[in-house]
Amino acid sequence: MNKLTCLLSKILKIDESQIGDGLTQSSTSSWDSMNHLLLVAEIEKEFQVRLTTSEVVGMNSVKSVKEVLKNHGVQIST
Amino acid sequence: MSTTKASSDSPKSLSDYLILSKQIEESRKSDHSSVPRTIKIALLTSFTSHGISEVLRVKGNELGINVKCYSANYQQYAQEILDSKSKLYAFEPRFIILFIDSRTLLGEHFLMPYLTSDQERKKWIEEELNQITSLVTELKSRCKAQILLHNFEVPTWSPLGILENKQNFGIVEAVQELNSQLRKLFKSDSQVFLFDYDAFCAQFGKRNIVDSKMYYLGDIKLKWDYLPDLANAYLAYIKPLMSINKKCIVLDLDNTLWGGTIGEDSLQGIKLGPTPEGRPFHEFQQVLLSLCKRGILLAINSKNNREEALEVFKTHPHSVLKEEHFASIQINWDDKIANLKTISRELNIGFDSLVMIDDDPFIREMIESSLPEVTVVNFPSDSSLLVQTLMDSTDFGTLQLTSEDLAKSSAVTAEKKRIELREKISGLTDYLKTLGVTISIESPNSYNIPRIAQLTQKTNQFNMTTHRYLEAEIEQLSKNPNFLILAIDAKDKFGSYGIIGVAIVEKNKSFWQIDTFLLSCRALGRNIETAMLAQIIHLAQKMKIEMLVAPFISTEKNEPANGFYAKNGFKQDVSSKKGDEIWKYNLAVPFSFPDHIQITQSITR
Repeated sequence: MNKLTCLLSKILKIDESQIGDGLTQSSTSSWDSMNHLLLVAEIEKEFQVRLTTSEVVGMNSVKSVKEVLKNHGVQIST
Repeated sequence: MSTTKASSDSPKSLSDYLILSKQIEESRKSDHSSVPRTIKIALLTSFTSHGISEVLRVKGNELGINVKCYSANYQQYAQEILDSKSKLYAFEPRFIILFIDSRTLLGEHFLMPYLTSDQERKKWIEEELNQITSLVTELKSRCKAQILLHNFEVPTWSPLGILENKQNFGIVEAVQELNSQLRKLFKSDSQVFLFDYDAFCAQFGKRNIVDSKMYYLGDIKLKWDYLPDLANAYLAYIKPLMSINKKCIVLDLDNTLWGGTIGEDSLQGIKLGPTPEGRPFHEFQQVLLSLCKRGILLAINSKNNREEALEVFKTHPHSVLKEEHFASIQINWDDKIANLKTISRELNIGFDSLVMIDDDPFIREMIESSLPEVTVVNFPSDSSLLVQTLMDSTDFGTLQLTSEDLAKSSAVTAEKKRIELREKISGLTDYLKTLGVTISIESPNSYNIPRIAQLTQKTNQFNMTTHRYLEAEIEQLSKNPNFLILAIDAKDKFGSYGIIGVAIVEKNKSFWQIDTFLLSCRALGRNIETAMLAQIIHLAQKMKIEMLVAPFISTEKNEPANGFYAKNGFKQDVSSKKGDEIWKYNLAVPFSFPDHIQITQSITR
């Protein structure tokens, strides 16, 4: 299991098996604004990156999170 | 004391804290048997305070404190304070944190301070000061909670740049002035403590503690990484409120109070004094002396030849600490656990009041496993960090510094002389006769009220009910005609004990009830407690009261108080159960003052 899935599962309180690229912020009730920021803080710590404000605002699905991380040179296995 | 052990490792991020906090909350719900001491804390903040209460709960749990938090909806702190029917007051907090941040305070002035004139800024700061003061006054009038008021982070940026300090009532000066006024206003207010948040920010770096992105995204004004530090800073105030405080630092000698070993390196060879390797130990001793002077006891627990080691304190030119600063000296070849037990017995304080500082990791581990109540300091591997390690401790906080604290080291010397006398004289009566104890029984006044409150907070052993009171609460009780408060001041031929006993009695029409009856343990064994009881009984008899009712509430620590009422002619109420007992004294029966105690001053009504 990759680190990102672990983080998403821990913060959004969703079983790891339910987390895939299709998971979006709008369809997930636990993905509220507070948890979004918690996720950002955890991602920055775990992957040693600093996200920009617009990246954070635009990260509204698992897929887009991965894309943002990819732009920072972090490769997430699927 | 029981803490809920969390399953995961130590928390690393805010989400870890949130999860832990939830776990603690859940386990409290299911396990009612082991609920530790609870404190209700109300958080009033001027911004989204997400996470503070959860981190406080986790950090409190580590100390065996059950933290219950109420967070007011941010931006509504003022309404909550002003409305007597608000949830804030319904929550009945014991501790209130009022945290208004500089950005909220300054508003547009933060980035555009000089759109106003000097006079306008001055007037505006005065208004802010008045508003904060009236909020605090409002809080004080509506509840008895201890109030922790944040001061304001002083800005580091000014549009004037290097000219900021040339400006008349500049923005930096304005915030400093506000902080300084707040300090003055609450300096002698026992209910309000000013939290130096500006110093907190400076300690961690004003630039580091803000993450601008999180600030813009979530109005987060203190980076989450610093919430555990903030919680620790708050807990420094909460610990003494919960009677958690350390009273004595127990020190090893070699490689702890000086570098090297005295047995091998000799007096000239140890590292202590003005060299790169000697200065850390020299300064460490200076910090210890400062703590000793504010009432923290020092003790030695070391494996050495006693005379050889004591030579350092007697003759080394750079030993700031002298033999007289140590309340107990255990330098021998016995095991250190046995020595700790001796220190605890000699000083009459529990293991949970001891802090052990020792460079030997093996000894530290041994103490941690066999005496888990003793706090063992995580000794730094580099001696240059010794001073900082001690400075970082918040274990020695007390809510008030009394003259008894400041005179503690001389009191300890007197106590040593008493022990010597006790060993010379065989019978207790002869000992008391020679000791010549004199007591004075006082009513509460502005000089002794801080000490009365402190005794209720710190006395664990000879304490019949262990009711804890804040200074402000004692002050209120002292004005209530239905309550009688006695403070006992004692001295003997070796010196003064200061105020060491307190009794609080609720006066009803036909009976009086003892609410609090305690004696500091260092004054035990001199019949002072009997004299105190005699005084209450005589006053009640004078008022033609029929019955004196005295509860005894058993705790983990007050075994020394058990049996006191039985010994003095009280009868236990048959309906009360063991450990939560009601004792009664029929006031028709005469009660005499103990022999060998002279009373110089007493209360007559």
